[in-house]
Amino acid sequence: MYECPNCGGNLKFDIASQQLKCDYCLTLKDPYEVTKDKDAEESNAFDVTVFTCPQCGGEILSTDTSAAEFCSFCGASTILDSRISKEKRPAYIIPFKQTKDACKEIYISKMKRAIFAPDELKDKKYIDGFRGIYIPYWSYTISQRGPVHMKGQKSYAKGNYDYTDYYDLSGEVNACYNDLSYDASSSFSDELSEQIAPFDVKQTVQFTPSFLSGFYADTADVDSSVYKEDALRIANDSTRSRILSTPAFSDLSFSLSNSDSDLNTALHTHCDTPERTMYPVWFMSYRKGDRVAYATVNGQTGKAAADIPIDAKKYILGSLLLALPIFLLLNFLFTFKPNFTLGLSAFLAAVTFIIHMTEVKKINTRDQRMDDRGYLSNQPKTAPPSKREPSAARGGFFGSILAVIAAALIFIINPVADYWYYAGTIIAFIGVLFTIIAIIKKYNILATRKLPQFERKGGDDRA
Amino acid sequence: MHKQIKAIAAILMLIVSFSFSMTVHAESDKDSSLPEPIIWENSETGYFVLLQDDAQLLTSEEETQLAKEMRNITAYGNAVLKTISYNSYSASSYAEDFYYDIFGQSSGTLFLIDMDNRELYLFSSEDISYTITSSYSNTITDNVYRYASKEDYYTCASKAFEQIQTLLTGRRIAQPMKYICNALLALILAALINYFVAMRTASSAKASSREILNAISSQFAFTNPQKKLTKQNKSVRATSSSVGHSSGGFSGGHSSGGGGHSSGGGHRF
Repeated sequence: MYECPNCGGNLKFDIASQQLKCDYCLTLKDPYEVTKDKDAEESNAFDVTVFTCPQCGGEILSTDTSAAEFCSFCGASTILDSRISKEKRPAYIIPFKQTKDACKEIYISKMKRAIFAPDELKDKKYIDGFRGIYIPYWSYTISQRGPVHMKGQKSYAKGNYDYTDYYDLSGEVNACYNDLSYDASSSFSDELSEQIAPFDVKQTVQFTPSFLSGFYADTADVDSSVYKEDALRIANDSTRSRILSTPAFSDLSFSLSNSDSDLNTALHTHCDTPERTMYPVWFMSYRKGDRVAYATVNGQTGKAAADIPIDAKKYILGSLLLALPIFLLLNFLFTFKPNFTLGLSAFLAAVTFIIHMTEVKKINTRDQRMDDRGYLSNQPKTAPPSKREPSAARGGFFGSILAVIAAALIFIINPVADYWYYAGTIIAFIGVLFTIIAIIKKYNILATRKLPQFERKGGDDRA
Repeated sequence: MHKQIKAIAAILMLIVSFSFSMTVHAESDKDSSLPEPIIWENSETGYFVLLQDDAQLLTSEEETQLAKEMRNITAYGNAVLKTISYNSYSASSYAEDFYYDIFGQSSGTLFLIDMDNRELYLFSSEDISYTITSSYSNTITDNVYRYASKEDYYTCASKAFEQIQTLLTGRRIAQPMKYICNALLALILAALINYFVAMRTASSAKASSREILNAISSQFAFTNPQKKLTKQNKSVRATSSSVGHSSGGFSGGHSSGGGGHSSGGGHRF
């Protein structure tokens, strides 16, 4: 806690004034002028209270010692265990620029477009649960300095001859990319991190712990080497494309190696020691059963990203309502014969089957967090995760397959009476609906996450 | 008097063309003892009722009654009922050929009961075809095919011409096939479209490389660009005459049927 020099009250970072503000006497103080005794010491670490969720093991930091009663990661309402600890001091920080009210408005505006989202996600009580968290990031600075050599060629026609000229090309590159940032927290998913990116890193300021007052911070537990190749690749790709568009070489076609390691050598790509930074994120979790959904808003730019499940009832009601204008439009434009209708229904059933298979793949990847390298880097090297589908994801394709088979049989029998084709189309509709409902269940799995289990002290798999 | 002579001449011409048509189709019909057709002309419009029950599906009373019912249609065009027991073509080809052979590019509608293909086909030409569209032809044949399945050919044809008459007088007919098919398709399409809408509204795009680069401070310079010619390849260009190239005029096999407007639709029974 940072004490107010006037009244001894708690000084917290005030987003509007970008200063520390006393809750009681409203005194404003420059964050760099207010320090705890230990903050002032020349050290690579600073004191924090580490709150650990007894259910998922998620850890969250605060400069305040008052009890935390809610886990942002698994959504559990419980008193979090706390301990005083030292954390490595980040070099820079982007202080919160978006207030909680602004964040809520951004989120509400996003949710207005999400017409099939469960009402709970739009509930004011739920929205009040946004919590300001500083997420640790690794900031990579990439430099490229030195001579570059390439091969080039030009083809042209003159008289009755075709010519191809071969060139040795060279030049001096001098490029630098500062602060390419990747989140250093295994509890913050790469997907959400990439969706709320980028942060305007030109607005970073030197870190001082008092910026954290009134907010929480996530722990940095991902090694800096995890995202180094990503940073190098962005720098290499950018430099490569800019060299290729150099006016002096504009009449040539030439190539520069595509392989990452060759490009590192060719462009003299060098990565400086990554810096620890902290970026502001408004964070909210919504727990339902054994799944949790997150909503995040970039605390600097206001860019929002959220896991938005689909409410099956709203979806069905919405589909019925949408069917009406489609029905009127079809009536206006077409008169389909029963056999054509059955054929089209069977085709749509086949499309639904393909969607189903695609979704299952995505679910597996996301459910096992196979696309989250920050998370995977922190997992023990045990057996590879099972590729077996989550139970809700199994068997959904039977509906559409049955619909296609029924349609095929009817076409083979080729009956005269319409009702055969109507019956086949109804079977196709039921089959498609069954598969789509299964896809929605899968989508809800995709739109939410397994309750996190961080392999940290305090985590309890049985919770 | 002059009008009567004109009407008699028209009927004679029709009989001649009909007889010619019969000689063409008689070979395919394989039945030389065909019943006499019923022909009646609307003296005001010049359009005809033509009823020929080659497949002998109707009693003479039914034929007479049907011909009476078909007269109302002659206010708009020719009304033809044709039944056949043998057809080596499709029902649609037969109906179209038969109508054009007799009436040419004249407004009218033909209801064909093809016992060989077990198919009903409704063909309309010129003015009538703008009202009795292909969609309506499909609807009408769908509305009446059950009578044909039950071998009640009189009711089948009678209902078909009744519905044609209803449409020609600007009223509506029941279209259960259209509504059932469209309702089922609308439900399936809505479910799929809604799924994509839900996906679209729920997802957030990841930041692109360009966005990331715009948000950081970067510098780039590429100085002293040099190019040094190291090798040149020269080859004789292949001329156009040496390339196997053939050109030929477009010979489109397009035939025009006179540019008339027609419609048609049918249903098996």
